[in-house]
Amino acid sequence: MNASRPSELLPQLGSRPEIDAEYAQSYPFANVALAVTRLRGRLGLTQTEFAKMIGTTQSVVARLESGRHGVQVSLFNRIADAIGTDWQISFSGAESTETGVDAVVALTSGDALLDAFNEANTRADIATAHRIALRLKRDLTSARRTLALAIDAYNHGRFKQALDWAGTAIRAGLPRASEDAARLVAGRSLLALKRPKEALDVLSGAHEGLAAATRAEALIELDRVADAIKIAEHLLDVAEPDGRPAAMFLAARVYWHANQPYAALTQAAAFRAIQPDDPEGAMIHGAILGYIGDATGDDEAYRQAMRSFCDIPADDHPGVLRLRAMTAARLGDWREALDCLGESIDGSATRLASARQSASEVAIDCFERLDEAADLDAAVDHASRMSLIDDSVWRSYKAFANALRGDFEGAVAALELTVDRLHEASPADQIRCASALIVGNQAGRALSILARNQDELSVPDGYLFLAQAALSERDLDTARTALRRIAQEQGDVAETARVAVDLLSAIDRAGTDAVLARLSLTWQAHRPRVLEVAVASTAPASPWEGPVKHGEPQHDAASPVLDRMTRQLVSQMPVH
Amino acid sequence: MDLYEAYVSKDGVTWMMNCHPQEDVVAKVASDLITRLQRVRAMGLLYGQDPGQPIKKLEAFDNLWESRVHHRTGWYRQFFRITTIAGHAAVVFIEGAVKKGDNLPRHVLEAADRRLDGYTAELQSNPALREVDRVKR
Repeated sequence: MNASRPSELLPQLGSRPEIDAEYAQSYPFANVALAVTRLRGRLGLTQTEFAKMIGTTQSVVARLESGRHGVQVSLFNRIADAIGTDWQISFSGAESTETGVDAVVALTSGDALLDAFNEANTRADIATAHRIALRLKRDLTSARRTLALAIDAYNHGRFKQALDWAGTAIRAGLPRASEDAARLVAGRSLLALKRPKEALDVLSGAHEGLAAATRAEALIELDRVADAIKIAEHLLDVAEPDGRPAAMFLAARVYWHANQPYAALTQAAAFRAIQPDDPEGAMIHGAILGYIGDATGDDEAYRQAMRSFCDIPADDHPGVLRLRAMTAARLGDWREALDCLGESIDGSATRLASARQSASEVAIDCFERLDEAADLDAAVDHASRMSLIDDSVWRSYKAFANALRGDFEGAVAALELTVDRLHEASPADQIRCASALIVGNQAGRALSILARNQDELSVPDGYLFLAQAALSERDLDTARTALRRIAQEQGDVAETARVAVDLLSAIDRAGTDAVLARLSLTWQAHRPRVLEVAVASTAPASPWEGPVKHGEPQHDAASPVLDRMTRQLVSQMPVH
Repeated sequence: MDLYEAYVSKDGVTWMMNCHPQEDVVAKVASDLITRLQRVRAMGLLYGQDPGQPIKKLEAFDNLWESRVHHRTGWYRQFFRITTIAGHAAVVFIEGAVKKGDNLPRHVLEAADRRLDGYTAELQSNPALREVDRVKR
């Protein structure tokens, strides 16, 4: 009998009978629990997989392994039947009344090197597993060894190799469980390689678990949204109570990717109701709310998103700081946003470059949302003090702050240039400076700047500005060209632009200079967004890890959450 | 047999025995922590993969894990590492930290990571220490 009392396990504790007593009271079935846990560990199965193998639910296994609850003897018979062995009971000593049960099973693959690979892989020692994989590669005597190479390649993100090895292993013939594993590796690899149709083919028979979830993602990629939803809803229908949260999580992702944020929100909220402390649940819940906030402009959505993100411990999930920053920026709290970004890069030496790049992008997004020159000035300085932005970004947005005040010369000076050398600045900076002339009602002065940088202008504000500048200078051709560009779009502004083009042509034909002189375009009260701003090119393609933006799918083919789940699963997958 | 050997440093044991002024709280927390240790030793990483189980890898570090126990007096978080000691897969526990909220300051985690570096190296080079600190089977 193994030692199990705390004082036997850890003699260093000394004589602490109260700990032994508490342990005996809290975990009266600890020996039974450990015997089952050891068996499961040796088999390399999760509780859910183990439960499926013995024909019960994960919650029964969890209860059994908790050591707090008794168990029916018939369950041991089911375990023994499932793994083809027997179990025995033994009493640990004449003086003891404890019951000990040991169901140790010798289960190996019959291949010592493969066993070594499994052993390293199941404890996520990827480096050791890789070294063993290199030895396996020199002597590829079985399909199972080939599958080990596929798993090794997948663990290292070498998806093409993972795909090749998995295919070779499948063709060579694998036991059923291993073939399922090989197909999952192949399917996820194909998805990562943006080959969703083939992923779908590889996983064609899968109706459960991650394989089915992968199919749903592939279907989304193929724009077969309805089929993806069918799978997600099927998984919701068939999930047993213990598997239901995972199915809800998947459904939330699929609905979200299918651009049904409210259905996604329902599933995410249901998931969180069951597992309120799950950080991934809080993450997706918050991200969907953020996405809804972007779509509706409703600050309440952002506030709720922020509450979700604040439930996630940042030291374990540093990525949440970026989401908190984005949300704070949308709520107008630039200081909180920048502080979160500062925290996100604080001490992250190993990820310094990428963390700083990401933080800089969100900081720029934050600046773009500020309408007041004083706020922008302060925010830019704050970000610079925290090393969130480099000097060029600092100069650009100091210039923009001056532009918001209508101070054209000040804006140019902030770029460390003079007005006659402004053409040396980047197109974006030139346009930022020129926007000072909108605020100062000197649009005419901006004409040459805008005309030479018109490829960078936004629609409609930027082109309206150009049209206004052109009208001020009586340059009707440029004005008409600018208005026609706006007229190509949809909506009320485009309609107005079409009318304006016709009107302009009529005025031009009539040569009525007096009428022309009185024609002016007026601006709405909001700050005009004259620039096809840097945010569009430097910010993350889909800031909330979201599904569809401007009608185009922006997400990765393989969603990070499911990919992570697969990595966890595959990194521990024994090759049977 | 368990998949892993387990070691607890002297400081780890001391921390466990003094994690709260009240004896009954120490007994409760220590028995919970020892249960977690037994399960980690039995099945290593697979244990931590089960949703909701209180074993967690700290993402910002290469090999820093924590075993969490929640008690009404706070969160008791003991740090450990999964490694190889003298050619055998092993889990190595050191002292932990008690916190009311969810986040530990980064410097605490960095200190734990460094401490694990040092203690693991000591275990590698000192067979006598391994004998003393090895958790019995």
